[in-house]
Amino acid sequence: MIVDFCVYIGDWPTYELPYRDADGLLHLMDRCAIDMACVSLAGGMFRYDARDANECLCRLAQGHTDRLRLIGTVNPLVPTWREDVQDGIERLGLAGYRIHPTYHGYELAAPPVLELAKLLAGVNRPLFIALAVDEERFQHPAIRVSEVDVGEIATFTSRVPDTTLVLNGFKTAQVHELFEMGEALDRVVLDINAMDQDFEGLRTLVERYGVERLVYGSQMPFLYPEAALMVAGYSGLPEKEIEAILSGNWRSSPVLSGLQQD
Amino acid sequence: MNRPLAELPAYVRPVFDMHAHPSPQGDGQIERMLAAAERVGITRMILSDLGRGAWREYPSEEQVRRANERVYDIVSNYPGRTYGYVYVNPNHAETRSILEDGLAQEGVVGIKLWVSCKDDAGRVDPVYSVLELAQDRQVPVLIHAFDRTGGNLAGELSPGEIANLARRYPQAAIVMAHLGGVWQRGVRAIQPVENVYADICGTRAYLGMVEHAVRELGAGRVLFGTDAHGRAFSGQIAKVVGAEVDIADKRRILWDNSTQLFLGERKVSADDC
Repeated sequence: MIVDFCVYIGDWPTYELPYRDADGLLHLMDRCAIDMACVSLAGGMFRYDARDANECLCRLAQGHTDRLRLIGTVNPLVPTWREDVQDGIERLGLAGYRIHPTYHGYELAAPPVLELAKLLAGVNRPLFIALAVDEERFQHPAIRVSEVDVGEIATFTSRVPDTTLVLNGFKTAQVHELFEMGEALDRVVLDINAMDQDFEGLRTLVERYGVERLVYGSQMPFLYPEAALMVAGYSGLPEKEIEAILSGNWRSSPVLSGLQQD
Repeated sequence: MNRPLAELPAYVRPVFDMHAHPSPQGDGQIERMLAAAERVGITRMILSDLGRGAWREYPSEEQVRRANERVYDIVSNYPGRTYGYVYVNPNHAETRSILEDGLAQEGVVGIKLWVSCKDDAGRVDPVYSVLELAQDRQVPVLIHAFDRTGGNLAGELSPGEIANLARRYPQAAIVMAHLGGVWQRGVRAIQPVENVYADICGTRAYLGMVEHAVRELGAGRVLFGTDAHGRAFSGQIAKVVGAEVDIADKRRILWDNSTQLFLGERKVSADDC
């Protein structure tokens, strides 16, 4: 069973994504035999009100929540964030939250972010952290956003060791950096969608740090979902390790395997 | 395990990668790189060497000559699997002789320009003599192109600048690399100028980029490259595999266009490779 841990739905402000609705995502998922996807609202980080974003996410995915797991938007700097999170879980059935710290202009060390992570751990929900959505060199001049600092993430993981973290968009070199710095990575997984640097970067990474922390993520519909699949499939890794990335590793996380039963 | 699309479809092979670089670390990685390429069906590859260590935007003449020598060595060690570009910084006085030397080498099939395409005053004039020679010899020129947020590097051409150069040299075959960076704008800039081709390499695998290029340019002007060593071959091939275009168009992109443009071969059967 392949689960895609990095998927968006809806409109993006700078160009028309080729597929923007649930039918489109399901088409892409079927094309790649992806069974389930953890989906956030593409422009969610631009909404003033997270509840508005999360309701929109629910509307877009309506009727397809058997395959689309809804990952909400939250901005922990907004005073109502606790209510937003509670409302999302209890009323909208959100399976977790994805934060975009640099789009909202905060550091992970901010007390509300730590509180958010602990709150989610308490209700067995994962916290997704997106390093970036689009490449800095091609961003719209009015929406220039840097990537989340890897050192910040390494520190964060050690401060919230009980929270299941899904890190989206790490490049190969950044994974090396995280593994060298990070101490509490037991509940951390990283999706492979941006690990296509170097002709054998993924293999080098796995040979050095093991395969256990890696999961499949495509960042569709921004990217072709085939890309991350093939980067894994043709990495030169043994079949068992490829299978672990694409469909095995998430099962060993109690919180992520719980997504299947929601 | 059900994993059908992590397997390449049969139509993909063979693949011609017309935009690749040997590792700048120079630690004998070419064998591993070619092996990784062959895993995904790449049987032909055109390489340019842009230097050792961190690539210099404006390399010295000596650095350019040494970089080219490394490519000529690779091409001579792996004939038929690898081909070469002769790389120049067109601001050098000896550019013409570097080009002449390079084009005389067995297996050198094109000219590469990177980000040294302007003089101190920001003019593109140094490129003119390169394109004149390319036009005379009918040798394709691969030119890096970007449209960076916040402004390009000093000697880096934009898609619009490439289109203007191509208008000035209408008999020269120019390949704009990376679909020009921001692919929606890059493709549009060159669309009316028919002697400009575009390669799809190097950026992330943006959904829709190949379909857009085929729609705007026609499949005959779209070339497959990877920008390896710096990118995974498989992730770049996925752009074509995932594109919702005809298989015949995919074959043009993956093989036919480059064999025709760089090797002068009209049609090559997969059985011949």
